[in-house]
Amino acid sequence: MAAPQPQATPAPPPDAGLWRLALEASGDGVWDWHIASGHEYRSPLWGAMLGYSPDEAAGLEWRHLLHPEDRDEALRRLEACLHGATPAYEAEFRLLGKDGRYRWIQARGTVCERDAAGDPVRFVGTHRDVSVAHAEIENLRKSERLWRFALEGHGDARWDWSIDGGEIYISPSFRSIIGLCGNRPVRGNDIWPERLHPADLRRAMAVFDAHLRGREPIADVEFRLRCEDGAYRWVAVRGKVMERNAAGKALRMTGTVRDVHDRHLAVEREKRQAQELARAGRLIHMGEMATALAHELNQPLTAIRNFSGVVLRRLDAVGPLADPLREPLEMIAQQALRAGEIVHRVRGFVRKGRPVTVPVAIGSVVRSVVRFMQPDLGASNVRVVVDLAEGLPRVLADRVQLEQVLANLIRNAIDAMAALAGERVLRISARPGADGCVELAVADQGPGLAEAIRADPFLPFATTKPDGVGLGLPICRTIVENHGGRLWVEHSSPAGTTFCFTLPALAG
Amino acid sequence: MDDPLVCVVDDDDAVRLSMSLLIETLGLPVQSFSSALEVLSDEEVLRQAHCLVLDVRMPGLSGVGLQERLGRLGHTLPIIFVSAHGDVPMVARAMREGAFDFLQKPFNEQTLLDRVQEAVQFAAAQRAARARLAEIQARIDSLTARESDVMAGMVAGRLNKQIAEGLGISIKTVEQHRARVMEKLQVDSLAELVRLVVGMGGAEASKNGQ
Repeated sequence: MAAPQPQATPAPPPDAGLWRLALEASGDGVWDWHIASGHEYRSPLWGAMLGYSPDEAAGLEWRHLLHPEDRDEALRRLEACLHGATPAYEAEFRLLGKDGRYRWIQARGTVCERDAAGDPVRFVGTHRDVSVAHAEIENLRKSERLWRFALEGHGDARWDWSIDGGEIYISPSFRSIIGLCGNRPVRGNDIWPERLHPADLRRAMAVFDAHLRGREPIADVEFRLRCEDGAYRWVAVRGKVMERNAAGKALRMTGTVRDVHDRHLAVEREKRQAQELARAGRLIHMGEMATALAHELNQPLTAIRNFSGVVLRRLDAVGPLADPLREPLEMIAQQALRAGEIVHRVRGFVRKGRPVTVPVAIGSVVRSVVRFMQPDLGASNVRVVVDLAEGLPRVLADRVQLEQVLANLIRNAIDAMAALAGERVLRISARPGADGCVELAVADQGPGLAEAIRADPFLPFATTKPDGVGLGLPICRTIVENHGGRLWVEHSSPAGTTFCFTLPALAG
Repeated sequence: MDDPLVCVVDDDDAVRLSMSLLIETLGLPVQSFSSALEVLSDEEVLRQAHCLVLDVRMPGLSGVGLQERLGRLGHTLPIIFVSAHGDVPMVARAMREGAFDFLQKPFNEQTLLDRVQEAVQFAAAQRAARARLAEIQARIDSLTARESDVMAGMVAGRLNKQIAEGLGISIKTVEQHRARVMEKLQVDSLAELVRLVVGMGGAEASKNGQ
C-alpha cells in the first residue's frame, strides 16, 4: 500500500510512480527526502520494520533512533554522499524499534537531484532489515571465539587451514609432534594427505570430506602422521570449517591435533594380550582335553591288560589244553599297552607348549585380569574387591597361564552369583602361604557348589553350566600343579565359595 | 605271623577289580578300597597290610594325601603308586615322600606283580627285623639291675676282676651274674652277646644304662 501520508508528505512527487512500487515490492522500506522543504516520504515498510504504523513513522526523527555506537559513522556516510564526496550512500546501523530493541538496518541511497550550484535537492533510498543476517554473523563469531577458547584451553596443538589459498598455520606444539623445526611456512597438502600413513589415508580423507561437504558437523579422526624422522605417530585430529562461501564451499578450516601415540600403543597391546589369552586358553583347553581323554582311556586299557594277565595266569592251571588260547590273549594284552603308548604320545604332543615361567608380580596379574574382565563384571553387576598383602614376594609363573587360571575362577564366581539379588561382591586376595608359597583366594557370595560337583569339582567333563564342557577347573588345576602349586576348594557354603591356589614364591 | 595282605585303592571299579584278581594270582590275600579315606579308617587292614597299591588321583583324599597321612601316623608300609595321569610333579612328590614305586597306567602287569612281591618281601623283612628287635629288647628287659650292670661290663670288654671291683662285689658273684646274662639272652659266647647288644644300639640298649 503506497498511499501517501498527507501530514508528512503532502504532495507525492510526480515521478513517484513505477520505481517506487518496484522498490516497495522488493521488501525494502523506501524514503524520499526533499531537502529544501524538509519533507520526507516514508513507505509503510520503512516503519513496519521498526514496529511503527505509517502514521507513527511519519513523525519520527530517525537520527534519534540511531544506536549511539553507530550514529557518527552513519551520519558521516550520509554527509559524504550529500556533499558529493561519494556517489552512493551505503551504511549499516542499528535503529531503535518501538519495542525498545535495536534492529540492524542496511541503508542505501543516492542524491537524485541537485540544483545549479550542485547542492542536493532530493535524496532517495531504501532501508533493509538485516537483523537476521547480523545475528547469524554474530553467532558465527561467538562460536569461533568459543571454539578457539576451547582449543587453546585444552592445550592441544592447533592448525588453521586456508583451503582456498592452501596455506596452513600449525602451532609450535603441532610442529613438535611431527618434529618439524623452525617456522617454515607449510601448505595444507604437506600435512594431509602427504604425511598420512597409507593405511589410514582413505579413512581419514573420507572423514575430512564428509565434513567439508557439510554432511558431518565436525571432522574427528585418528590416524598416523609421518614425522620428520620417518617414523609414524598416532594423532587425533578434530576440525571444523569456519568459513564457507555463498555456494557453501569451505574456505577455512581450523582445529586441533593431539598426540595419542602412547595411548594407541597401550590399547593395541591390551588387544594383543586379550588375543593371546584367548589363544592360550584354546591351547590349554586342547591340552586338558587330551589329558582328560588320556585318563579316561588309560583306565579301561589298564583293566584290559590286567584282566588278560589274570586269565593268562589262570590258564597255567589248565595245562596244555589252554595253549591255543594263550597266544591271542597275549595279543590282547599287548594291544592294550600299545593303545596306552599312543594315548601317551598324543598327550605329549599336545603338551609341547610348556609353561614359560618368569618372575611375576601377583598384583599386576590380578589387576590386569580384572581389567580384561571388566566388561563381564560390569554387565553382571559384580564389584571386585582386591586385597593383596603388603610386600608379597613375586612368584615363578607363566603369566598367560596364570591369567587363565584367575580368569577362569573369576568367570565361575560371576556365574555363581548370577541369581543373587542386590550387590554382588567378588573378593580376590593374596597372602604369603606356608612353605614359601603365595596363596591366592577367589571368593564369591554364591549359593555354594552344586550337589552334582561337590564331591569332586575338578572332575573333567563334570559341569553344572548349560553350555559348559566341564574343563575349566581341571584346566586350572593342571596349570597350577604344573607350576608346582595346589588348587583346592577352601570353603563352600550357601553363603559363598572360596577357591584357593598356591604358587611357589621366588626366594629373595 | 600276620598274612601279608595287599591293599588295592582305586576309584575305577574295573581297574580295582583287575588289579585285585591279578595280585591274587600271586597267592596273596588282597583287600580293595574305592577311596583313600576308607583305608585310613580301617586299622585292622593297616596293621596287616604289607603293600599298598594306590591310585594317585581320587576324589576326596588323593593317593598322595593318603601317603602323607600314613607317614604322619608312623606307618611305613611300602606304597606302589599307579596313575593314569602323567603328573610329573606329583610323581616327584610321591617318590620324595618315600614311595616304593610309581607305575604309569596302563602298565605291564608283570611289572606290577614283581614290584608287589618285592614290596611284600621288603615289608615282611622289615616286620621280621622289627619283631626280632622287640624280642631281644624283651630279653634285655628281663635282666635284673645287677645283671644289667655286669652285662654292660662284659660288652665293654672288662675282665671279671675289673667288673667286680667296679661294682664292689666278689668275682664269684660276677661269674654267677655272667651265667645268668648268657642264659637270659640266649647266647653261647661273649662274641655273640656283643653282636646282639651292639645290634640293638650298643650299651644304651642295656636296661638302666650305666
